[in-house]
Amino acid sequence: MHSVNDEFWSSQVRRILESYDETLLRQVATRLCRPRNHWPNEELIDRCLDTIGNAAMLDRRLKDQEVGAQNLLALIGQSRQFLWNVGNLVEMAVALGTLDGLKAVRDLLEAGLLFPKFGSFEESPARPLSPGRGRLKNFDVWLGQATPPAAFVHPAVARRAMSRPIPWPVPLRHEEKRDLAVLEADGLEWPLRLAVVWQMAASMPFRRTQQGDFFKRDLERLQNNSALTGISSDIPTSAPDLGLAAVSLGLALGFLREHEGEVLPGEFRMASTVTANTSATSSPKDKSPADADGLAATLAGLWAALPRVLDWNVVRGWQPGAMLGNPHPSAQLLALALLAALPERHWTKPEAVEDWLVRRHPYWSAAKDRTPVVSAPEGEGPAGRGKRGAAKQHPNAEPGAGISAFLLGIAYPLRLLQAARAANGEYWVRLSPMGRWLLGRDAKPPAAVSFPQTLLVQPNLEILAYRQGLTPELIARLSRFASWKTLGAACTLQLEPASVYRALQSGESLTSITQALERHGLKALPETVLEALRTWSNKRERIAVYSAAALFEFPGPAELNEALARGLPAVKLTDRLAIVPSEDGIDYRHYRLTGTRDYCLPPERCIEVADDGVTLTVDLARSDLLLETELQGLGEWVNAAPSPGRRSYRLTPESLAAARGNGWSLGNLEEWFSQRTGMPLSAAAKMLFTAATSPAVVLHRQLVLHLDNAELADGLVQWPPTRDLVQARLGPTALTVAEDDVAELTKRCLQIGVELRPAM
Amino acid sequence: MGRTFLFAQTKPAKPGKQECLPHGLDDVNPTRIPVKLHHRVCLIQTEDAILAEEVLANRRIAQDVVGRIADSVLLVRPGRVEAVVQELQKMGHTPQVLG
Repeated sequence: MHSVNDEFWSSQVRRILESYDETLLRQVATRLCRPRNHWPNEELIDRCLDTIGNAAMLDRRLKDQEVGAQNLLALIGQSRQFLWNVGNLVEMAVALGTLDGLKAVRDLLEAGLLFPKFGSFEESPARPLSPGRGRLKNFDVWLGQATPPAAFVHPAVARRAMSRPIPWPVPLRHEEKRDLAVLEADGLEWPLRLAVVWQMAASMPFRRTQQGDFFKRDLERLQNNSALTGISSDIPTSAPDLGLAAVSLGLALGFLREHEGEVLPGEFRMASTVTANTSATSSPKDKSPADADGLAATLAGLWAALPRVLDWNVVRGWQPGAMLGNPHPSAQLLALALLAALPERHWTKPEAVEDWLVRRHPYWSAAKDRTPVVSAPEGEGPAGRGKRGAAKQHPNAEPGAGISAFLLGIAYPLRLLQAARAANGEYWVRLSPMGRWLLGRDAKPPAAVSFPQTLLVQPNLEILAYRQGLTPELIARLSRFASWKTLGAACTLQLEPASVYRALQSGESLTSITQALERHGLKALPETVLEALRTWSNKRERIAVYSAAALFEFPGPAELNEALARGLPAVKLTDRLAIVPSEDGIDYRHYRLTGTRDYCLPPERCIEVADDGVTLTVDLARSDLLLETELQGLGEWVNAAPSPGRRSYRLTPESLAAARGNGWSLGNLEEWFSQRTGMPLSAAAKMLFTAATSPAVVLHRQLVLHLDNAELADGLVQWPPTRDLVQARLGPTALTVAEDDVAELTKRCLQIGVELRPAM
Repeated sequence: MGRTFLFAQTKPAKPGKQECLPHGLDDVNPTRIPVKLHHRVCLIQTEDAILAEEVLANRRIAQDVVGRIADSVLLVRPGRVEAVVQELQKMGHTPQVLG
């Protein structure tokens, strides 16, 4: 959900004004703040924002507007949603009697009271558009763009506009009835449903197809979950695909978020994410979020999020990707605004509201114009028009506006309405005190009744939550550590290892969970429940997984202890290593970094090999954690460091045998040697690694014939009479001869004049 | 990340060129502790060595463990933390994921 924080919207207004072409900016500024001098652009933008923040000046500017534009702003104020699709704004203006709805929107844009939305609010709230993307020169170009244009109003403007009553062209038929039994929901139906859908997303994200729909498995999960789709018996009517509606609403509120085609759980904080700061009768400074209790604030957030539910509507249910021409947000707001215009305590029929809208809302009235329908008297619903009118509906038109279903199936459970059932079975509706406050008719929301003790925790780990004591804060709290099983007058939850683990992971502790259960419990916590919570919590303490931590490697234990004494928020791993989950809390002034390494980067060459082929010297500034562990498994640490910042290891037969036993292969070793030293595996290392598995070496005696020169050796090896008597050539001037052949070789050499003498 | 790179100085600065030091930090604490910093480290710390052995006995986890820097501290292959956590959960553990 978009923030209702004024500063956020001011930053958006500034960003949009900065993206206007200078001519357009001056035109808008002339209408909004009426500068008397030729101010620079920045100054103009500041003055525009000052005007928006000045209630008196704003009232004057609003009075300058035509009635249609004023009505539009008042409706936006009543919706508490400051971002609207332009199509819906046009529909509302036309429904209120403006002939050219688009002109009303354009007038507001030109007057600086409505602003076009560019890009995403979430991406960069205060970043102006880059010059390369072009500046906005006129609003017609923007309105004609391919994507459905959306525009927003600054909350300060909406608040001031809301204080003026809307002159409805044709008022709604209403009656004061005293003999009706008034029904009013507790407003918790949708917060509970959101809690269920949030937990479902937490247990397994919902996956979306490229068309925006959900995959079959997730669709079935959402359609078949009884807690999501069931409704309380006191709610007059239901709506289709309530589980999917909850997903849409959750996304609009920010309880759920989309990431790479998956719907994931977002932050689930009911009362603190929504604020209730608008009122028709008070200035913005009069109220703060604290003025509304948790339920009122939550319902205000839900009401504000309804127009942003675009994938679902009350008539057809789940409509993924149906972004264009969705008339329901405007129709729903108009319906509630119509009820807000009724005198207090006066009732009307839902069908009358629907009929009013079907006649005047351009989406349905245009469809009616295309197909002749039998006209019905004012206040008589579509049902009263008889079969003939219903049968001739335009084929593309929806079966109905769904306003009756919206009022009784959505607005009533949201506690926006009171309902009453007449003797003939017909329902009558009017705004509830909560609804009157939300639509700016009352200054304060109804006081909340508090029953803090509402939970019954049973030994079988089931929690019974009595509805009258539930609050949005408690729903959010319980959702963190217990799974919702059934919703009803008494809801049931289950404490499970997975739910408790999720709570512990999100920052809860054993103490906070037990405190919450004890504080809201009707009875003391059963010992079995405490024991289960304790077990699950202790189990979690046994293994810690650091996903991207900072590991400090000290030269020795003394330095590590000194760092801990100076407040390093670390967990000691060994006498030299300590780990810090997050670098945010580290005061780097205490440290001199001798090296930094990114664990995720590929291995670096940081080892020198000595001539002996087995002594490896590590450059500690470039080495990484993996290397340290690898070397500990491959070699033995040599005590005498060759120089500061270096450490030596020696490959020994024992260490390499151990490495082989730990799963190292010759291929691994060769690859590691190449990565770490940039050289092939040394012969000595290879010998040490493979010697144990090599075949036995044969040792035997041989006579070596040493000659004076290589030419003579070549001759003896080549001449046939002597060639057969030479066993092998050891070098340029050394030949081996078998002992038995010595006499024969001596004889043949004498024939050519070479004398062989045994060495003395 | 960017901040810590300011501290990385493994080579002496060239003559006439100012060293890449954090602003005025040398003056603040002359007895700074030498330390080597490893960023984005993925590891598992268990309560004791026996539990570490139990974890390592899982073939899938063992494939993602690239080293053991202490009896109860196992280094995890970069980018495989989520898979390791899921496997630990399948084993019935409830690891706390930090950082």
